[in-house]
Amino acid sequence: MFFKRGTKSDQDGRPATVKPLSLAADVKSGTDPQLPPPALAVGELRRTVDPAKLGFKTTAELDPITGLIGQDRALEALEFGMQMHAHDFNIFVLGPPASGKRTAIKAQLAAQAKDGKTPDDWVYVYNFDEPNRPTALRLPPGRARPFAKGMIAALDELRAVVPTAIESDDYQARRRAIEARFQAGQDEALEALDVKAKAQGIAVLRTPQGFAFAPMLDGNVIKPESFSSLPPDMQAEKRRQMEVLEKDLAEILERVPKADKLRRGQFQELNEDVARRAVLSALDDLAAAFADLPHVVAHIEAASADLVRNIAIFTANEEESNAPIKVSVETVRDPRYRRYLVNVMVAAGESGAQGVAAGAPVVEEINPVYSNLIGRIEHVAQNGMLITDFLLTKPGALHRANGGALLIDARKLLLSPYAYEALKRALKSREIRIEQPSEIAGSVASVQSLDPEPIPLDVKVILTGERDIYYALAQNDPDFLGLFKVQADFDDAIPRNGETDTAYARLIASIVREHKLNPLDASGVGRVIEEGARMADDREKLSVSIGRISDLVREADYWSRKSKRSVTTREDVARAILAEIQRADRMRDRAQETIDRGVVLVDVAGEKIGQINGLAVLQLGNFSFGRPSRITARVRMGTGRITDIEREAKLSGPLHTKGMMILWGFLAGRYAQDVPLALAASLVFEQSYGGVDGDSASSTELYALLSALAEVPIKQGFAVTGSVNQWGEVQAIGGVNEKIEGFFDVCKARNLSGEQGVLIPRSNVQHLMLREDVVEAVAAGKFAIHGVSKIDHGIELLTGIAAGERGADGNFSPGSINARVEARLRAFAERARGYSKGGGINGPGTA
Amino acid sequence: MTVRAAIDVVHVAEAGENRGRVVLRLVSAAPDRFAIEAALLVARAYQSELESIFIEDQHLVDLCAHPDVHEVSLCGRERRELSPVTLIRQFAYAARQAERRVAVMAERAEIQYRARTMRDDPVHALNRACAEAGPWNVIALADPVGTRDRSAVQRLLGEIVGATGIVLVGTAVRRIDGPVVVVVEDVERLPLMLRVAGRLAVERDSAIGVVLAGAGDDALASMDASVRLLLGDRADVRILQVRRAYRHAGAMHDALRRLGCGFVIGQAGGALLPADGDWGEFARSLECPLFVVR
Repeated sequence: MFFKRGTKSDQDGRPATVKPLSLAADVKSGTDPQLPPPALAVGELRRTVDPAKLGFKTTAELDPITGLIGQDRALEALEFGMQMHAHDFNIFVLGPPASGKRTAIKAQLAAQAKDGKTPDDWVYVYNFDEPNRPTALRLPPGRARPFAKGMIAALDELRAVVPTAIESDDYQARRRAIEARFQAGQDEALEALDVKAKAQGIAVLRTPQGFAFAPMLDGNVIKPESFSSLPPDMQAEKRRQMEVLEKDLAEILERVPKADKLRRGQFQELNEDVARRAVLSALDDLAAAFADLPHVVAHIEAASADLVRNIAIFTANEEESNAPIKVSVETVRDPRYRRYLVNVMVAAGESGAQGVAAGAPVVEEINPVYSNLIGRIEHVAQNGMLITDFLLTKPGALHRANGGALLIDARKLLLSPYAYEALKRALKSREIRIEQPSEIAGSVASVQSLDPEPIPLDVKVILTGERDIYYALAQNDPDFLGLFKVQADFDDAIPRNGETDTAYARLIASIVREHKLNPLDASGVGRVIEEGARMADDREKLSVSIGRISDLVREADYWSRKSKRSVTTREDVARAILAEIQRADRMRDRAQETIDRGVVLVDVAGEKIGQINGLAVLQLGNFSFGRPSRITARVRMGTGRITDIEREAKLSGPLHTKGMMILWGFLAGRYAQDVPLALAASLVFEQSYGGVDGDSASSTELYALLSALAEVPIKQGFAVTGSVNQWGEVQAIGGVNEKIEGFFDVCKARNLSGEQGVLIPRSNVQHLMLREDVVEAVAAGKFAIHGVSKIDHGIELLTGIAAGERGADGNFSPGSINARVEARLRAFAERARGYSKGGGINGPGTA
Repeated sequence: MTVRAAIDVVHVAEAGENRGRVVLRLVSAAPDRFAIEAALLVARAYQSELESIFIEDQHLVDLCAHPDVHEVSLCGRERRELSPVTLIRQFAYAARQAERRVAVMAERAEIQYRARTMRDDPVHALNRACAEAGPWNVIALADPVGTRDRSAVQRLLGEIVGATGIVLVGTAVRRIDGPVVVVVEDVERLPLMLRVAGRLAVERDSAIGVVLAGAGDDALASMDASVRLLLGDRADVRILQVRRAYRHAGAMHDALRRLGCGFVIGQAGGALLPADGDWGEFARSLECPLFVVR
């Protein structure tokens, strides 16, 4: 139902009414600010795509697009950030999730990185001076692996050569000579003692823990009872002799350690002499191959010296000699050889996700926990202890990305304990220092630890995340803006025009190709583009939520294949959208049912004073829907206070409260310039048991209040949404499509009468991408949408009575809504004054 | 009374036959690895069992009652009374240690192994053990033979009935890999010794060497001819000749070293291992195990 505002009020004070207009197409548009707006034309409700104008039959004809579309600003920022060679110009990419930005960023970074400098290799080697502080060695790209393999080859050679050298006649002869010198000395002394003891009739016996002397008679040890029967002087003599022999034996045995030490020293000298030749021969080639790297040569020399000192490790141990097959050093990881091995932390060609052999690395860490980011020191259990060494030092993403770029999801980073702080520490100090999280946490766990030498860091970190994360970090972390100076802000949506429609179609083609789907025909692409606009909540824009678009295209492919079609059409896309909604709309159905069954009271016909249909949006995961809600207002004389029952019950949020205050400001400003606002009003969302927030119902509440004050009924066939400012201008709100559709569904369930519709802010008209059934109902004259820019326009549509303007005499048109409201408020003020004089109520102006 | 074994063959009874086994003599907590391996090699070669006998020397136990006998510690810095309780505890501990080590190696070699302890005179204990299940026993000494042990070893050879040989290592032992070498002084014993060498060599997949020890060129030539006749067309046997000299043991060591021997089989009672002479030096300096056959 549409109304024409009365241009002139009756002189006798009868209400100035507006006459209903028909749905004639020649209704004058609402461009005249004095006139209430007519219903929106069908073309304003949804922007459709003409498949013929897309210029292709199916997506098979299109070139896929891999980059981002319509994100020039963000891409320029990204390029700047990458090319800005400074450690603190890291990049934060802001944008909605599942927008495809990560894939596109990686593609762009990879393209840039391909021409970048291939970073150096890094290895950790044993520190022969400080074993718990492994040494980091930098090598030119591609030389870490040969270095590591060269050390293994040298050890393999030594394993073969050293035992042979030790078996050689020369070595054995020299060893025997040493052994003989030592053995002869000891044996001769013991032999002499043995002979001396025997000569005195005393036996030398070996016990498990030493030696004992026992008296003999006729070559046999005398038993104790026999010994006691010997003459006392003979017993005494034997005792004396045994004591002397014991002292002699002690002297001989005490010499053993000294002689043994001397012997070991001589063996060591012999071994080193033999070993030196073998070690130098084994490591010569390796040292020559790395002669241009003095620090590597220095390590090889240190390893050589250590090998010479410890050449005994190459003599076979018991287990190895019994093993049927002699396994190589690399496989066996024999602990004896570990200190000579090389731990390759990062080597050219291994850092890129795609295995890029040259150029700067681009690494994405999808699980940025501390150890994956900074690296870790692993432990192995041995004899109930956790032990480690430099070979158990594992690289993190920073190592792999060093010299290139590292892409991290900011949310995951922040959710990982210690990871964000560790990343900042590394960026600030420009070095990667591997620490164990337990050390950072101050744990006193008794595990063997390492302090590897830090590795210099030169990396561009790119964090990706939603805007709220960026702003939260910017506000709460003083280091953040200093380290992430470049923000690349990706739009949630891009402007919709012919060019972007084509790009969108190419994007769909790339999804089709990537997932090997049926091609979409132009109608199907058009429907996807329309859904993209719907996702953007703006018919002039397209959502860049590539993930959701991809889901839709793949689901449409499912329906097309199920229908045994080789091309996905508009019907398939529509079915996919419907199916997705159906999977998620159980709550919507329940809400609808409660209204249909009269549990939740919503009128869609008739007129009532102080009662109006508001609209709310409920978001459940990816699915949101609108639901009408009755709002009522009651007024009486009072002290200038509006009771927002939601707020009193602590069910409203701050934005809602703000809306109520604005509403109060409007009332006071328009109607109570020179009189006290002696009003007491109460407003409530009926049957609302959850929280209410946002100011999108503030205009609705104002209409209800005006109706109550003017005592003019509101037509219940309307639902209203929109916020209002203190000047009575209706302002834009969010979720306009869902709200309209929510009320439409309720009306449709009770049969569309042609007198039902929704008032929305005029500024929201551009956002309309309504469901096709809503558009069809409007086209059939069964439903109407009005874009309202002023409260006066809205109240006229809702009541059928002119709002009224203040004339030259300062009064509103008689009978108009505004005149009625003002009169009622003045009446409240007069009565309040009377009460005040009588002391029955607070004085005026107390509001 | 001393009874010599009247058996001219070297043999060890197979497992389950109950007529012999390899008897491993244990006397300390740390038996020599090569000595145990040598015992296991013989057991494998003859598919026999291994029984270790840890000997608690009865003489030492008896001495504990002697008020004037003291024990001097191995480092020479401590002199203490010899207590029977302590001594027996030390024996038990040493037995457990030694038996555990042998058990591990026997399991790895897949040889049936059992262990027991005997408190007796050392030679008498072995004699008893061999008499219990004989006559096809070989005695293996788990501790290296030193200079002072030579009389004990000769006593074993002289007194034990029911053993066909003794396997021992010296203090210089350092390998068991290499050819099995037979030292021949008496050609008549060669077939017997070659059979033993053959069994051991097959087990180790190693070569066989023969060292002929003769008093002069004629004797050596004669021995060489006899040996080649015995060997027939076996080309894999390497023969070396060693002229018996003043320092016979030294010359023999050189020859064995040239062959890189991993196991030596020698005959007791010859010039190298005289029945009543000093062959301790030869055994002690040998770098591989020695199998002394009668």
